[in-house]
Amino acid sequence: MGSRESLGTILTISGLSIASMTALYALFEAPSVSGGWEAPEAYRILYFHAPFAWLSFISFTLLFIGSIMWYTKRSEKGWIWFQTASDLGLIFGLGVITSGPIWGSVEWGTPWDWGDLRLNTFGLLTAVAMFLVLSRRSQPDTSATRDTLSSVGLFGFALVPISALATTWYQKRHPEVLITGSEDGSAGMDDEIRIVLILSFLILNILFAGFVILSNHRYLLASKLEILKSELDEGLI
Amino acid sequence: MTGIMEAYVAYSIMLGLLFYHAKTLFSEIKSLELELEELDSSSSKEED
Repeated sequence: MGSRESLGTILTISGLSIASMTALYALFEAPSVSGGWEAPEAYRILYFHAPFAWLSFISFTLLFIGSIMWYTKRSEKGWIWFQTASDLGLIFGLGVITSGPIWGSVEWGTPWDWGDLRLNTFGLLTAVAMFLVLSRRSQPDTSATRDTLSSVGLFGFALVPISALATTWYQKRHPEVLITGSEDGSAGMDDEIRIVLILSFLILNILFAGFVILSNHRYLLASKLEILKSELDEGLI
Repeated sequence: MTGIMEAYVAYSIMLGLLFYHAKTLFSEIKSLELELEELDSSSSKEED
């Protein structure tokens, strides 16, 4: 096992273990919230929901970089980044668009608000990731396919700032970012809740790094295998 | 309704996604490494 793969394995296994413990802490030990909440205990979803959203934005940033590398240099490394980032964008995006509506259904009384910009752009972003992953698996791996999918990946990245800033630009129903407190000082976050949330961000970022290293290694192996197979075929012909 | 049951469901889904992805990564890396080893050994036999 190479040193990079070992690092990826260590980060992934330790990230998963600590993330599981954090989930247990978030569910059973983190303080309850008071105030005008319809379902006060459902807020605990936030500890994973927010980092998942952050990591899906990071995934789409990596996807953008991979797409640019493929377009400008026809770089195999760029395509490896593209594949890794689209997989991770889908995994973390699915986590967000399932946990968010679960919270919305008990807090708002409806799982989805079609008038909320952040929800809808994020839903679209996850749909883009799903399209990319399914297309990659179903289409032949040619330069034309890579070009098409990279252009869709570039379009997907354009949704990231819109979705990330939607609650500031067009505040509708989705809660504001309250880690640093609201502008008028009327709302903020309990210190303990903030610490658990920051811890959750850190741990899930570590896990994300492990996933990136292992996923890049997987696609590098797949690429080597393809090259070896085509060389063997040429040798036989 | 406090929403704690919904929180359990949401965490099960999110942790499930993470574990599923990790399991897929490890198993695919293992099978790719095996396939590469087999191809390497078969091509070196042909050269001999």
